[in-house]
Amino acid sequence: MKRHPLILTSLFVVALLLAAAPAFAAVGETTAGTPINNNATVDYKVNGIDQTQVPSDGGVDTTFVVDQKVKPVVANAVSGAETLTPGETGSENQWLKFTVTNDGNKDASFKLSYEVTGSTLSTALSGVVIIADTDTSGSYTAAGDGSSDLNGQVVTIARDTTLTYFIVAPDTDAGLLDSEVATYHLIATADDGTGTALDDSTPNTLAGEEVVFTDSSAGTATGDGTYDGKDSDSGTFTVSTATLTVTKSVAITDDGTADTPEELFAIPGAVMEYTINIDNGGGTDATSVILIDAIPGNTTYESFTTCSGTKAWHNGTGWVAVEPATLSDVTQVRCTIATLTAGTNQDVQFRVTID
Amino acid sequence: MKNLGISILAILLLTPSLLWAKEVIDLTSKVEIEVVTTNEQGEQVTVRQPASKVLPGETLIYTNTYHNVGDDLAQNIVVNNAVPAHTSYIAGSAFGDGCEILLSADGGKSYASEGELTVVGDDGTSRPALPEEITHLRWIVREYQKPGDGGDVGFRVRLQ
Repeated sequence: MKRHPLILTSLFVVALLLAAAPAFAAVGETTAGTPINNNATVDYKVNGIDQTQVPSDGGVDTTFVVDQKVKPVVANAVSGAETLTPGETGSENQWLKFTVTNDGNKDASFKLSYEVTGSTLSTALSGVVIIADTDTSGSYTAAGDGSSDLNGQVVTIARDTTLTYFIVAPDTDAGLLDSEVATYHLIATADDGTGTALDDSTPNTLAGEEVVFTDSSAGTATGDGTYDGKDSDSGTFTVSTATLTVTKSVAITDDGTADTPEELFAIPGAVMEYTINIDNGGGTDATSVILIDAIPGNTTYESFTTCSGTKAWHNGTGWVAVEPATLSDVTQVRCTIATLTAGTNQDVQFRVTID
Repeated sequence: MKNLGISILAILLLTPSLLWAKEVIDLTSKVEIEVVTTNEQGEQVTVRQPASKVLPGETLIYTNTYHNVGDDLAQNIVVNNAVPAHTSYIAGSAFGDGCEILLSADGGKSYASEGELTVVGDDGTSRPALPEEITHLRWIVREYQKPGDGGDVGFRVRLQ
C-alpha cells in the first residue's frame, strides 16, 4: 500500500478544520539563562513496513542558553527644582531628576555615580548626593526619600522596570552669582552586584549565559559610548538670584532765574533732582528692596517726587511716614519696594535746593 | 570474516524484528545564527555560526539532516519538529528540497501547507494561522532514499 502525500494533505486539512486552535499567549523577552531545546523525529518505512521512530541526535536535545542582554537606560526628567539659590543649607528644593530603566532580559545590578561638566559656579557645590525616590512620589523630600547617598553604590533593578533617582544639592555658597550653571550627569554602570563592573568579553558558548551589552545609544558623560554596559544623561543646575544695580544721576530742574533762552545753572536756590535707578538684572524677583539716600551737605530737602513703594523721611531723630512740616529737618529719604520683579527697574527721585 | 558476515545476515533474515530494529535513517539537528561580517575582500557577507550568542529578538536557523545510513531503501520518510519553546516561527522560512512541507497550529494534531493553514478564532470563524501560532512542522520527503542518500530540512524562528 502506497499512500500519496497529497492524500495525506487533504486529510490533514479536513482534520484541521475540525480542530480548535489553542490560544496564543503573548510573552515578553525570554529570560537570560533559559535553555532553548529542540528535538526532531523521523518516521519511515522499509519494504512497506513502519520502522521505529528515530529521534534526532540519538534523543539528545539541540540546546543553547539565552544570553543576558544588559541595557541600562538613563534619562533626565524635568524636576522643576533645577534652580540654585545662593547661601542655602540643607535645602530640599535643589535637585535634578533622573529615571534609570533596566531594559535587559533579567534583573540586573547597576552602580550609580555622577560627573560634573561645564560648571561656571564660582564655588563648586558641596554635599551633592544621589538619592532614590524611595516613596515613589516623583519629588525629592528628606522625609520621604531618606538621606542614603547612592553615589558609588550598587542598586538592583528588576527587568523592564524604571526607578527614579535624584541628584540633590542641599548646600550652596552665598557667593554664587546669577546665571552660573553646572551640569550633572547621572551614570548607571552594569555591575556584577558586588561593586565590580560587568564584562562582556567572555567567550560565548552554547551552554553558557554570557553578558552582552546592548546599549546602542551613547550617554552624555565623559567616555560613555555605545555597547559599554553604561548609560548616562545630564541635567543642569542654574543659579538664580536677584542682582540689583543702582545708578544715581542728578539734574537741575529750576535755577530760580528766568533768562531767555532758559539756561540752568547750579547756583544757590536752584532745585536739583536726584534720580536713583534700581535694576534687577537677575533671574529672581527681589523683595523688600529698601533704598535710603542722604540729603547732601549744603542742600535742603525739597520734595520726594518718585517712589512706587512706601515713602519715609528721617527727621534727624527717627523715620516718619509723613513728610515733616519743616523741610530742613529731613536728613534722609527712604523708599521701600515690596517686589522688584526679575528683569525690571524702577526710579526713585527726590529734590533738594542748593543752600 | 566473510563467513561471519554471512552468519549474521542469516540470523537477521531469520529474525525480522532484529532487522527492523536497526536504524536505517539517521537524523541530526543543529541550531545556528546568521552574522553579517566583512570578508577579506571588504564585502559584507552573511555567515552562519553556532548559536552561542543569542539574545531575545534574534533569528535562529534550525537544520535537521536525514541520512540513509542503512542498506535498505527508506520509504515514506516524514520528519517532524516542534517549534521550540520561547521561539516563534518565521513566516515562509521552512525549507526542504524535494519535500512537501506542512505546518500545524494545534500541537501537531493536524497539518496543512503554509498559506492554507487556518485556525478557528475566538468568534468561531476560521482565519489564516499567524506565524507565531505555528506549533509543529512536518516534512514529507517525496522520493525514496537509497542507502547513502539524504537531505536537509529546516526552519527559522525568532527568539522571544
